Amino acid sequence: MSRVVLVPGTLALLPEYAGIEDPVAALRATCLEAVGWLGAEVSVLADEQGARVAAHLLASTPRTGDEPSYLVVGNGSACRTEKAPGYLDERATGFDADLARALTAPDPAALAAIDPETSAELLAATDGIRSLGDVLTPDHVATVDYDDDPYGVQYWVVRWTARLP
Amino acid sequence: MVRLTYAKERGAGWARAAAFSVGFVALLWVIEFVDVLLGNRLDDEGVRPRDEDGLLGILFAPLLHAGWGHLIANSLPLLVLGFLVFLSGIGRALAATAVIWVVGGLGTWLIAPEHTVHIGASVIVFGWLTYLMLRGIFARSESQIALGVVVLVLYGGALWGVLPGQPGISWQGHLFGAIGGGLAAWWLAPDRQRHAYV
Repeated sequence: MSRVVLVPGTLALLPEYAGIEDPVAALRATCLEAVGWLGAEVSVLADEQGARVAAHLLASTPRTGDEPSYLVVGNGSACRTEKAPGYLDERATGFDADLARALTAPDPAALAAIDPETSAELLAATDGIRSLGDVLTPDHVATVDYDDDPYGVQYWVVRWTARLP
Repeated sequence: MVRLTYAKERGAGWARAAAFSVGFVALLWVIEFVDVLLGNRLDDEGVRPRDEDGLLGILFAPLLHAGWGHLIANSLPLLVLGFLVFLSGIGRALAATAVIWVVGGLGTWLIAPEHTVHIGASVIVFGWLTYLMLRGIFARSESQIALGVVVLVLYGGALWGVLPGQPGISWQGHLFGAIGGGLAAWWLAPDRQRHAYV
């Protein structure tokens, strides 16, 4: 029974970007808890920035168990508000809503078919999320631990596990 | 797109670290035993500065000791420091040791006086010492910095050995071993390692 976790690839999660006050304290706690739920051996699916975040989260969590485990790093659009890193793009909300539906269903085919160009225009990190299409089956059940857009960027923390047969 | 697998090392890390450090010291004792049986003939196989045949000594020197007293003096620090180095992962520890081994030997070969022979695992002791003291700084790890401070307090006095002192002691080996340890701490810090792309 595989375990799959999605976390956002925000650099704010890395210790080298830490400040006196943690701007993403709630997100960090949720990420650590979800990653800690994975087994000892974890396959990471991410872009380069996401791989750095994954490495840090994995190094920060004691994990046991031998369930096949995947850590996917990605996030929705960074163009959700006028103060977002990419300014407001009106397509962002719809794009993220579609993405959320595909993640929670889950709909592996829809995830694999996410358009990389639209993702890039909307500053959504979907490299890892697209490859979720290879990892998830419709039998997986999603648990959404975090769903918010502080700073105008859509972050999710989602855990999936396969239904018991 | 990056796909990589983080394999958590199985089994107790400390047991494996102990096995490697004890194993290394045991190997040194076996080699010294053979050396004694051969009438200390192996002791000429150390680093012989600027001698082309002496280059090969870079490989052998840390394994050879000039008598039991020399080996006994190195054994305890090798056991303690080796355990601490191997504790953070066997692969990384072996890589660090290889850097220390080569930098220590090559540096000695370049700057020590000709017609001398340099042997002994103190190259490794000095390398592991600086490696443990510095790696936390390069890795930005609080726990490793704390460990480095403990090592500095316990063994820091030995670092005077990188300066010329007692005749018959290879301060060159100590110096370049220590430099090798510093380089290993820098090169092997987690952020500097490239990810494997598949």
